[in-house]
Amino acid sequence: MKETLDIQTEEIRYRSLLTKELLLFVGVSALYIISLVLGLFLSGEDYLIPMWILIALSVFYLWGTIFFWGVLYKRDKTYERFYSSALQGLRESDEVFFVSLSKPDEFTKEGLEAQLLKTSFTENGTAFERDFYVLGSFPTLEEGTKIKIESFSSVVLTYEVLHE
Amino acid sequence: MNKKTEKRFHRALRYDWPLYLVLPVVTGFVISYLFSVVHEPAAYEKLNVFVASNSLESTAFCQDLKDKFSSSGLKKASTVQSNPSDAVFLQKLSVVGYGGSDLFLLPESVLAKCQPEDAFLPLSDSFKTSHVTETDPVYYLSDGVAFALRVKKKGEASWLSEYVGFLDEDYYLALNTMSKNLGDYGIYDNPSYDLAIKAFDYLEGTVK
Repeated sequence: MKETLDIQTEEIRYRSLLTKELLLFVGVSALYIISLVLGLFLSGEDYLIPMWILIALSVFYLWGTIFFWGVLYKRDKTYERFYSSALQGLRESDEVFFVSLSKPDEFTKEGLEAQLLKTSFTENGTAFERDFYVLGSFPTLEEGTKIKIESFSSVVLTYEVLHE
Repeated sequence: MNKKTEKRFHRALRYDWPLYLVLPVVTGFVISYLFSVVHEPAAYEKLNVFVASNSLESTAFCQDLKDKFSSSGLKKASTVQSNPSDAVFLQKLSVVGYGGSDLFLLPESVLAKCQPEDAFLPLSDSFKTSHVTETDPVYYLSDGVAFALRVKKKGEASWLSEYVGFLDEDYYLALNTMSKNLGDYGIYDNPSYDLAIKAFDYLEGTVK
């Protein structure tokens, strides 16, 4: 069985990334608050220029904050949660036939940037489609190639090519 | 920002755009308010004059006061102008004027309608001796007590006409007994804060 990506390493990487990001946010916030307080209390009676500088600074800080929580941190938290769950959760094992693989990052699976892997399987003589999502690397196989897939929440964790 | 993050940002922006707009505007107002609160001059550094008149050149009048008294510590001069013919004039006088003005410039008809002892500083003999320099001063009396000094006689010109659209009446100058700028004369023990007294001397017209 080949791994699409090393979940354990990824989980550790994202956990440490989240800690770094939080520390950076706290640091930047502390600097912002210090500059706000200093600007407020050290500016003289003619405070128009410091006030506009602080307003501009605040606008950038707020935009950065919204971007941080709404995009960066949210993305990394989603990955970290997924990898953490994948390490502890129950995995599914399926034997399916390869149909197609989308271009990289064309689809998202609940915030995870993934490739869509279309497969099919036959049960009682009837063919069914089954979609998986690939986070790491996955080879483009010939249509009809039989593969064994181990997945968590429809995300491929490991695979094995059974018949070309 | 790499392409993937940019894509995520554009996707998030579709939902979060009100935050990107509203929060900076609100913060702008909050910071502006904080600055105005932190830098608000103390009560003894500002002066407010309540003027009952048809009109008032407030900016020029305040600038005149600032030019005159900035060396004495005046940082902010302001005015409240109200026309005595307005329906809410007396309410404005009692709420805004009595509550926040240091000096009052009022026509006789207004003084007749209000009770001076409620808000105006009684002009004591020592005050008259020290601060009234007119040879023949006219006071507005209530129960024999002087509460205001006439600064403009009906039909006569005054240097204040440059700023104030006077009604055709006698005009009196009074001090708010609650003012923190009355030096030794007020209810507060702050003899060095006497901007209202200095302004009284100035508006009286005898000190140029």
